[in-house]
Amino acid sequence: MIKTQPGELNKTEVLRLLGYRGQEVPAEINARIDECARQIISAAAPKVIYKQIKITEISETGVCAEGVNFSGRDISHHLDGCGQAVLMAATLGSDVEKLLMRSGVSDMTNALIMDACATEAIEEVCDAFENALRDELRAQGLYLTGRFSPGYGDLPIEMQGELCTFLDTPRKIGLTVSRSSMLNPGKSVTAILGISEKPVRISAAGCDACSKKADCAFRREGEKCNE
Amino acid sequence: MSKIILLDGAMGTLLQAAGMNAGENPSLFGMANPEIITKIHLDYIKAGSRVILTNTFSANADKLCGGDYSVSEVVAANVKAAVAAKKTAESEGIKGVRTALDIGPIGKLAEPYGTMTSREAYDIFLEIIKAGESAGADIIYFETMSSLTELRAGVLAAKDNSTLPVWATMSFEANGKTFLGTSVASMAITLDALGVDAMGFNCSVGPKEFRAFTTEIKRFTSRPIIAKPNAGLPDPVTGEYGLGPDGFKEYMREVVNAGAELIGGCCGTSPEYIEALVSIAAKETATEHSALFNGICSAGKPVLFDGVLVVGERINPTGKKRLREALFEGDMNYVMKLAIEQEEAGADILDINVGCPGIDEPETMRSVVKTVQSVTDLPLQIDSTNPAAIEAGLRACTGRAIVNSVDASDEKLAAVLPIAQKYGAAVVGLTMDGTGIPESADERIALAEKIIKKAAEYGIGADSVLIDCLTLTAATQPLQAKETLEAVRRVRTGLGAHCTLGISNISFGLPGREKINRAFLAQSLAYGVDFPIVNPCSEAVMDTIVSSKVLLGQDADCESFIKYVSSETAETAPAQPAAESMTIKEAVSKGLSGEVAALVKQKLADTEELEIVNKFLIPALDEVGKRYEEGRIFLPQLMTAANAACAGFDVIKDSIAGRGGKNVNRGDIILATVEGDIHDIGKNIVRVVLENYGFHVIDLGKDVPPDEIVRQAKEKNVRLIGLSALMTTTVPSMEKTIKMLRDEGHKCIVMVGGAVLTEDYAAKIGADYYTKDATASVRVAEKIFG
Repeated sequence: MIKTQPGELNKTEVLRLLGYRGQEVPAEINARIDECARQIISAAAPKVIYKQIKITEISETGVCAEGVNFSGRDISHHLDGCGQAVLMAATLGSDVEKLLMRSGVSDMTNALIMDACATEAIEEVCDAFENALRDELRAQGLYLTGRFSPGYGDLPIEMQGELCTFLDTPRKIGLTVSRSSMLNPGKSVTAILGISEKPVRISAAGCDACSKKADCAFRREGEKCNE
Repeated sequence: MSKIILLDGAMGTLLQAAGMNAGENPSLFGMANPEIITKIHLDYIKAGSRVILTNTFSANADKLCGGDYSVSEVVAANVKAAVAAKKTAESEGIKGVRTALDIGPIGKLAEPYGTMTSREAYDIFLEIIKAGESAGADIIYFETMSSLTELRAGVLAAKDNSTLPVWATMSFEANGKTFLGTSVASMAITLDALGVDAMGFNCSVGPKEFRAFTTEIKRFTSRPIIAKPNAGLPDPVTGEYGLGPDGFKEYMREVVNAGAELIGGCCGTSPEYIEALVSIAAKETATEHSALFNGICSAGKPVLFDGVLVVGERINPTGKKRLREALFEGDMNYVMKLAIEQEEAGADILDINVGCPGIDEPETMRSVVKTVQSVTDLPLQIDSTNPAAIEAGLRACTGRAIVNSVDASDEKLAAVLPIAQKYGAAVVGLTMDGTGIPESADERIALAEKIIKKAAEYGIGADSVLIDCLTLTAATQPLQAKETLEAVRRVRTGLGAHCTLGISNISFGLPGREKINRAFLAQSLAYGVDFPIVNPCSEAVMDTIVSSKVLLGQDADCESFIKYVSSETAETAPAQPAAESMTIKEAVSKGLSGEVAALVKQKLADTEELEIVNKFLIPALDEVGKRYEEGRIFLPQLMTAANAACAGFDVIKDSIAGRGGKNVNRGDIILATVEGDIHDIGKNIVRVVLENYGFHVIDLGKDVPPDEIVRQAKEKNVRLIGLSALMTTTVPSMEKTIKMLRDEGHKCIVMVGGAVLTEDYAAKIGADYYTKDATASVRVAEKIFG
């Protein structure tokens, strides 16, 4: 397993998640963010699991791979030219969930900031995993795409359940999926990446694949959430 | 000294080798291929297994949902395949094989972190148990559990409905905790209390870590220990496990030396691994049990009975209007706050009492226990005079609890002790009977003896009995304190039980109550009270307890005392800037709660409460809201401002309540995160902001079913309902809720919010308003209520 423990969180990202658009950050809020980040990092017990599988067919309407199929144009596009796929799941663990629930009772400002810190932390865990795997594959002459998750574009969110069953996440990393396709613990990610013999576009799925495209607070201001 | 018994090894690994696809439900594969299942069982029996686990790990209603077969059919077919193997073995002269009905985790997360209720889990397990027992299973066997709440529901389903032995194992990480934070000690204390017949560990890590787990669990239970580890850790690319049969055996020898008696393997093991264990089973004998630790626990935290433990008394509505209102209204946020405050102040155990006239006590107890356990790890003391409420509390409580209380009357003993026995709870015994409170220490001791003797008849040892020698008020009965303390001394030195005592009653009717409370508390501790029931948020109380523990020799190197004292100085260090130099508006916008409270207090000297609200607090919030909407400040600043205003509102509320007036309420609003959705941060932000604008929010929480929202809306005649949903998959339940509100003819305005919603989407599902953030919801509320 590739080790992934978030160190210091990227504060610019945390601020961005909190809706920061260049206003003055009062010293008190700044100190709170540091303290919340510290608590989230200390509660986080990140775990990542993945499987590498062969892709058997890519068509306009979906992708067939060993033991699992994906429907939709967007995933086909994402895996275009890839002979293999990596299915991954990552979670920060249940202690972060507890901390968020508790802070929601005692102090909503902290709850809000911790939520942003935890979102950033799980992203960093995934990035670290992805980068390490990319380096490993590069050494073998292979290229890895970015992450594509259920709910992006036309890949149904319900795919979460199938991915978790396939990866045996409840048993392996303590990650379950609710009837409404929510991941528990909440600060978790499932994703699909492609492996190709030719160079690929690494960037994440991007705005075109996003279901929030029409009503995105970042886009309204000419920004992007993933940059 | 007992014999080692061999269990079996992996099933899934062998099924894949026999042609099952990854991702296929093994129980369905087994149903289609019973001969393969029987053969695998038989291979294990021939290798030495004497307990075989049926191929029913994934045969539950959730995992078989939407398939062609019922749970009963799938379970029966797989159990029969195991029974067939057992019979074949018998015909070949292998006797004494038992089949264990294997039950894995349901696959959905239990409350509070997930949406599955204990009741749902109970029903799902019960269906498997019934089918398995009638198909001929000999043992009910839970394994690979991460959630103690879920496992407990399963054990109760088994114990309530079957006489078969119950075995249970959980899956621990190398750090000695499950994925959901259950510790080895908590598992042991809980399962032992419930009367599980054998318990232990399976899966997760390799056998190397199992030795430490086994050593740890033997401190808490004398029941046989099960160890069924994986064959090391799997390689992520090939999926193969690291340890071969011989390496596995070497580690397992250590595990047996540490005290495990029922051994086998989990993922990656095969009949060869079991065969390798045969030599251990023949030679090794399990170790003797040493003295056990007694204690109670929550899922994550054991609390051992080995010194003074602070029982927090604040969740008790007697004489507390605010809590009583919260309980009637289902305002769990307030109850959770009380729990967290007491934990942070140093409580070890929380007493939970919800008794007030007119309340549905069992139902309220159940929901309070569940809610409190969602935000604190402290074990609980279920406090009620109503046996049905006690049972409801114990049933809902994950871990082992204390029952408060029984007295020495035959009637009470007969009503409460069987319940305590069923859940394995410790018990508080009051030294009184139907005839009133005795006046002498002698009489108290006689009653204590009766309670201890009776408890023993129900299998509750003296070490799990907490005698309450009863505090009487010094003002009216000044000679009684001495009798109480003398009785405490004799219980502690002669009867082998513990002592609890409610302290504050001593000062009832006297001025300067805290002074006498402090003296009485110190004396009680010196006489041997080890479960003082107190308000841990009182500085005098905690000063006394922390100091007394030093003097009682319960604080090695004064470590806790020094920590306590240094945290005290740290907290009082930063001096608050003078409030006079600031206006309420400035203080709110800067998020300075202390200043806002102080300024509002000053203003109250010459200004009416409502005038302060309307002329100062609301305009201050409006100003902050406007700055937020204009993008001049960002969300955390809006929230700190809201919190600061809240401190001001609290002062106003106290002032109004102080003169018996009617409190500020600009209108009632129901807020709920809809069914299936458990992400409620957005809804909570809206709640805080609305409350600070003087609206009365009835927060129904998260994952709220449509009919519950409709019921509350109608019952309380609420005209504005706010619904939140985070995901596309939960918006349908938002739509369903709105439809139900309309169909029921309840006249109300519905505002909706959440990450995936838009103006159009909101209109499409029948909502009246889309509120993109908290300030937008304030605008709607102001429009509705004026």
